[in-house]
Amino acid sequence: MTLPPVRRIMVGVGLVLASALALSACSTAPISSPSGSTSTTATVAASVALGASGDLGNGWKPDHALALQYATGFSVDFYQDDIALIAINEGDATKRYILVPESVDTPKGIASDITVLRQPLASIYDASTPSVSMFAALDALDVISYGPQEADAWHIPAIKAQMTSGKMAYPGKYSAPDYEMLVKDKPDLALENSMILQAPEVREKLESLGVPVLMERFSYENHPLGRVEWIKLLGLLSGKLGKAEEVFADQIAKFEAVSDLGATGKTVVFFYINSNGGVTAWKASDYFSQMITMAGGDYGFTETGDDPAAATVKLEMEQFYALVKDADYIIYNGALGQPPTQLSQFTDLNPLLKDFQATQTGQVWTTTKVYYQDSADLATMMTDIRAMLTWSDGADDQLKFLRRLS
Amino acid sequence: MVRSLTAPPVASTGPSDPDHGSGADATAAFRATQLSVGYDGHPLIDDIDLDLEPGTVLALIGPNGAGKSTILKTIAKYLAAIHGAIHIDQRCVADMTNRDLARKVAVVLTDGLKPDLMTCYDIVATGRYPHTGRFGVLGPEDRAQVRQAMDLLHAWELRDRDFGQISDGQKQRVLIARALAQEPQIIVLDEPTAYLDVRYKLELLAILRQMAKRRGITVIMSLHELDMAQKIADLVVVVDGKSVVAQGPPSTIFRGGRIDQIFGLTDGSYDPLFGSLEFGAPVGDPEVFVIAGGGSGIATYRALQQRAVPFATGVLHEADLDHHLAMRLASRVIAEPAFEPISDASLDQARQSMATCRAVICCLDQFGTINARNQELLDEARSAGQTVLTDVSQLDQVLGTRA
Amino acid sequence: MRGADSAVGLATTSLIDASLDVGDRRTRRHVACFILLGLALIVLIGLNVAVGSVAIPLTDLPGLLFGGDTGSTATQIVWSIRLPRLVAALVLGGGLALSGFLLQTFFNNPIAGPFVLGISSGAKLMVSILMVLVAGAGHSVNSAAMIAAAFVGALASMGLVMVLASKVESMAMLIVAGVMIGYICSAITDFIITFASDASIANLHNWSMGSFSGTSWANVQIMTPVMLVASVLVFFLAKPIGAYQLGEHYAHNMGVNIRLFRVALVLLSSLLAACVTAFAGPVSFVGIAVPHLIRWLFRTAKPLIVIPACFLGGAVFCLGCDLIARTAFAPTEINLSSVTAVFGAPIVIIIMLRRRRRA
Repeated sequence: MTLPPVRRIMVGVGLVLASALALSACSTAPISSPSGSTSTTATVAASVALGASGDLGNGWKPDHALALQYATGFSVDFYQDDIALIAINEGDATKRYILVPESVDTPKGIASDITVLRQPLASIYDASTPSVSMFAALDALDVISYGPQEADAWHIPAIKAQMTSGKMAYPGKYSAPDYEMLVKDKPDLALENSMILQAPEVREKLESLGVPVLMERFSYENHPLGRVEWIKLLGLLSGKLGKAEEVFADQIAKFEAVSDLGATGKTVVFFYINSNGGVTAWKASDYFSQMITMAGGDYGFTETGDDPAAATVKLEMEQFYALVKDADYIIYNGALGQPPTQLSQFTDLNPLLKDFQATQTGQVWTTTKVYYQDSADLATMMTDIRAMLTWSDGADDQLKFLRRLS
Repeated sequence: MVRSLTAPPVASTGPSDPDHGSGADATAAFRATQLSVGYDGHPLIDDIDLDLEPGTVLALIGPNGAGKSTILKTIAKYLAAIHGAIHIDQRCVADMTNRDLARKVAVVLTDGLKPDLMTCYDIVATGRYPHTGRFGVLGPEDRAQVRQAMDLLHAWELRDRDFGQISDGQKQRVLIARALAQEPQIIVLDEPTAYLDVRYKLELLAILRQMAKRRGITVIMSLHELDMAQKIADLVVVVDGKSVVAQGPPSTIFRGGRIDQIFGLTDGSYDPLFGSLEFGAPVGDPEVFVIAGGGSGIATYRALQQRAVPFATGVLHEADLDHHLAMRLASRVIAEPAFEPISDASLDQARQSMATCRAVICCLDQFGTINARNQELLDEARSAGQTVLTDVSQLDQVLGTRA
Repeated sequence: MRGADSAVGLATTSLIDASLDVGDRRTRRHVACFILLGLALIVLIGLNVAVGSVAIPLTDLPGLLFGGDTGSTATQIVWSIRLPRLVAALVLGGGLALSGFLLQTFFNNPIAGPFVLGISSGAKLMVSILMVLVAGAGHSVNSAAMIAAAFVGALASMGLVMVLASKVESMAMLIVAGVMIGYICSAITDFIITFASDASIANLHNWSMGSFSGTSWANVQIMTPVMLVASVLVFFLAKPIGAYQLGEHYAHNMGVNIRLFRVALVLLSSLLAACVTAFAGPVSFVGIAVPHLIRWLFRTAKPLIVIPACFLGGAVFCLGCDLIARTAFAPTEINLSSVTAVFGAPIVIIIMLRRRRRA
């Protein structure tokens, strides 16, 4: 169904190939095959090629690159005096930023497409909900002056407190922010997510008002650890790169701890019922499905649908039922609307649901609302998934990120 | 096909002397040559030939659906002529732009228009559009014309009233004033008296005729009211849905039986003398004998006709009003030539006829010199013991009829 | 025939002259109403400059606006945020009201609006294609492309409607065609949405509620000449519109070239509506409610009066609604169409009730 203009595809493909060549060794964990064999997160410390962020433009040569193991959406080259050149892969274009430490002069003669950011980035307008928790994990919440949602919408106490105490303000929806507020106490950077692609006038307006815009793309990372690795970029921006490396290493360790436990042979499917009454199911290539596989489960839904770029497939319940009725576990996506809190509410969503094996054995779980706000801590989701896969009567079934319905 | 006839000359106050002959007429306001009208290329009426002097009042009559509106629409250029040409003031209408035509032809239609928030003055003022500048702003000359038009139509006092809130008669006056304000040479009206009360009908048609004669405006209109057409038109054109059936001054069109034929009247007839429609005579042998004369019998005749009672009447005199009506409504009329005293022969006939009737109605209180012998009839009826009545209502008891 | 004055001089005198026709009472009413509208406009412009989520002392404003003070945040707020936005609301609101007036006159239908010919559906279709299929797939699209897409979609659907309607020589066909094209475009849009992510759906919904947020001076530089030129052209149509108010047959008889007039009217109203949709999305109710308001206020339907009055009225209405939309629940912006509906719908209802009672 996609009809992208042909030329854009060519340019996009060309750039992707170019950056792939530049990032010569970047490994991702192998995707589990449908037959059920598990894979491990065999991590290989990648050596990212120097100069992946492109030429600075004034003849300088980079000193070293930021080591990235899973993330493919960005790269950082470090120059003298700790000047960092950041490149964000925006699909069909690359946006570049230069981060200059406080005491250092901005280098002259740099390429015109590079946006200059000067440390300290003391005030950030973060319009991207998932990234806020990453700042929290870095103890860098103070850096965020403007957040992506109202205080009441937060399930993470620390962030909620930050808002109620007035340190973080809400400037309105990302698609129509209160520009006056943003101009009065101008942030040093606006961190947006890909929703802004469909409201380009907001980005243009912010830039015209003198607020540089950086679009994070970690939702485009297929590998779960690739998502978490963006914490390094946020650490760099907030001056806490060291802490970010620690947090990330900790996440890797926890991931490995879980995946080393091996396969359980149980099948899991992840979906939700959309507003039309049909099923939106996640593909096996999606990061969440990969987490399920890494945690020892077997992702039971193998359709890929028409659109290779989409993370989900929409289909009718009858079809879905026929494909996955024997799955051992159902994880229902609780992010949207009012997720069911009881099994009866779940089965009310569609008459066929009660005939799923998982329903009959009482293995219907939902993700909690806080999960979508806490992307820094995917490792806990790994342990929760493992707990689900090994759950038996009497064990705790109301976990941080997953809840069993009964 | 009836050949074209020029309308009778107009006693106009204009500078030019109207010609009497037909053909290449310097003052011919309107000429239609071999005109064919219809919709979508299908001709409805063919071969229309008209040649009108300025100030002619032309009435278009015919049954419903006969094509009157079609002809008018073609003249106003809403419909393209299928064949033939229309010339106004020597210029061919087909060559004229809308704007040129606007200065020559003004229309008055029956579409129920409901303009919002427009006063009568506004409506009339729109007639000036062909004469005003780019923004349609009225100058002093325009205002004068509007005033004049409204005065002529007695509509000036309505000028501030909302158009949607006045009566139909007033609306028509305003619309005609609008047409007049356009300063046209020809005014085309489609059934201008359609929804009007009798009073307004008369008023309107009188005004139209006045306009035509005083200002030399040619009036072309379709009318349903045959009597009005007869009285007001200089030229009558009759169409029947296929062709122009007849064309000429009223005196030739409205003649004994012609209208009945054209309109297919079977249950009655059109009386051209008075321009009235009469129902048909009751069928059968006379049951009632009416003695009348000098107009006294008219009410009785009509009442009997309503009760469907066939009657005979006499002795009347020809050219008497009663005689005129009796010829249409009575089964038997015994009449004497005008102004002649009643002869024996007539009296005998009357006597015989009276004898076969069940009742006699005498409408006269007394008899004059010429019809004195009707008294004998009356006396005979009485002495023969026939029911003699003076009023039709009394008849109901006798015959068992009801009004 | 009068000689032709200069257009400007004529336009000025025409406005006064037009009201001087009959009844000083009417003239006085018209003059008073224009003064009222003018004052309302000035007040609202002032409010829109002075009021916002950031308080700027009124005394500072003249210096910001006319002085040379550049660079302070207050200047930036006023010049880069408030001013372009208020010009957009003014110009687009005025044009939208005119578009509604044209179509209401044309169809002799009191609830006809600027989008009755499928304009907004066509625009939404193109925007959805751009948003869902291009931007949704990760490619970047700039705002100029969005604007152009909306404009093209709007005019394309208008073109389709006109082609359809020209096959059948009837006015009713225009509305039928417009509604049908609208449905077809909506159906295709819905089809595209089935494959869209929730994010795309949300963004498309935001767009279709209309907004003046984020207007830039570049936008203003394009929309203003287009809207003003189109509005002036509408003013030049005042005479045939006046004739048309009596009905098509009368207009024809008075010399109006009906065919050309229809085309001009549809083109102009569509251009106005398309421009608004392109820059601000489909803003509802302005086009329907304001002409009624103006007719009620001025007690006349005379185009020479109503056309400039509608423009003023639309500008005032939009400035007011936009002010409320952005300040009532700051920092969150209420959807512009919600505000215009809350004020516009009751107006339409009340007027319909009045008509029923009168008729």
